[in-house]
Amino acid sequence: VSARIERIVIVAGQLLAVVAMLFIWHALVTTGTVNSFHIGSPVTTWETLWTWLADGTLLANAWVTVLEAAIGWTVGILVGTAIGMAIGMFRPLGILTEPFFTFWNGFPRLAFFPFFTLVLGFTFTARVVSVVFVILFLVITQTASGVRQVDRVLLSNIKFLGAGRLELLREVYLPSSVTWVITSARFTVAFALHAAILAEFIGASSGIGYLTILGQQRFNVSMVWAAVITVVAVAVIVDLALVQAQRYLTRWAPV
Amino acid sequence: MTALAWRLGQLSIFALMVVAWELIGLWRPILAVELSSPGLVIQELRGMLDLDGWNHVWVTLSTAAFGCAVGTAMACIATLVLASNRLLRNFLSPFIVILNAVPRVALAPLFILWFGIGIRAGTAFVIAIIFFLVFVNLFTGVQTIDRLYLMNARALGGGKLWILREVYIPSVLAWLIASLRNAVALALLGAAVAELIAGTAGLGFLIAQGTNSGNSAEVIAAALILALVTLLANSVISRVERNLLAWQLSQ
Repeated sequence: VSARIERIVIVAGQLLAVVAMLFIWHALVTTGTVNSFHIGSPVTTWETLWTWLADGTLLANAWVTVLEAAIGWTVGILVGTAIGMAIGMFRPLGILTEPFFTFWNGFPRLAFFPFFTLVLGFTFTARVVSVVFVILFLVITQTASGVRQVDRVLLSNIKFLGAGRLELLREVYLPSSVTWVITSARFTVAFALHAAILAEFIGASSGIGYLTILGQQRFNVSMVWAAVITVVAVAVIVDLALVQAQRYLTRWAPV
Repeated sequence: MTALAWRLGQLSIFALMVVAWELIGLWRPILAVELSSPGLVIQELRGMLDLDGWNHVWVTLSTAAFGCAVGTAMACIATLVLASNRLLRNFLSPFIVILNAVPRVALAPLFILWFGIGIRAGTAFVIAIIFFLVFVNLFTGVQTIDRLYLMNARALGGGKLWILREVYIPSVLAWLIASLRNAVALALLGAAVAELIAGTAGLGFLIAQGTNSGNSAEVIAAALILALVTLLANSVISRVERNLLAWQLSQ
């Protein structure tokens, strides 16, 4: 019983802390202790959010960002898994391309989105390509190391039963890759979302990254807060959905 | 095959790619404007380093290093203060979950509004994102400290301070070293992104400048320098990591 009481107290304390923060923020702004130009105000932030929700701005822009991330993620997973399989299964290929992938993994890929806008213009495609570019190398590295770590006993058994490379791919590596994709999804999707938002910072006309940068350019801190809250909300919702999906998809697996 | 042969193979693949990239430009000069070419990038790099390139490298590097050091130190202090108390830890954990899901680099515009255009915004931004990254890591680290250790330490008569010194600090240190590599990469990236959005100097600023003037070679050259710096920092840290965590691996 005492553990339950403790939990209730903690949850109440958490809610209280959030309310108190908002209240202090509001008080600081209304009494003029701190200029709302610098820290924004909870009321105008709420009003901005409410207007966005009411006129559909919020959902429309969040949708664009999620769509960019989703398409980029899907393409990145498909292409990355294919390449990762190839370099994982053919040892020489793995060794030969190793420095190449080390380089791209150390490359500041999230900061490279301006290049794609130069090549493809300020387009939706450019942002999707940027997302693909960011997550592709993660997927490749991970798939390749996954292929190398497949159970040796399983491998020798299946080879003993007369399986060639093609059967190995179909019966062992492809099914396992589904598990790798699922277990790393939270990580890769977060990266994809991150990349999509950043790509909207330059020359976009929709998306939550665009809303953030618009607020900055208008020197409207409340608008940036509203956009940041949207970003956080989208990220948390996507993350929670993934946790649920992961639990559902791996429900067959022994714990 | 010997190691030397593999090295040669790797080098020839690299050479092949560079040649292919150059050939695309020669085949369709219009593509070279967008995709640039090795020749153009080298020319750009040379120009950068002749002019004030080192200055830009220095700005990004010092912003990242300073922000990383301060952010990490703050995260360590916060962990030691907050995490040894179970009640406080339970209080904080939902906030930590949310913080962890936030796309960190996407928060840069907020800092630019607060601190204005220039180095100060970048530094503050790097401090903040590194603080959150390291703090979240250390916090999870403390949460996974084996309860057995704690109970044993208490049974052996260890006081609060003793447990802090003998149990918390060593395990937090291990997590700290493990998160350092991510922290350094994120610090460099964060510094570059802040410069990219609203900077007056630094490698990110060069990327923005190249974008605005439609000069792909400049964008690629600046990103290349940033990549080299990141790789260099990575290799230094993995060496440090290997030395400091040798006791863990040998167990």
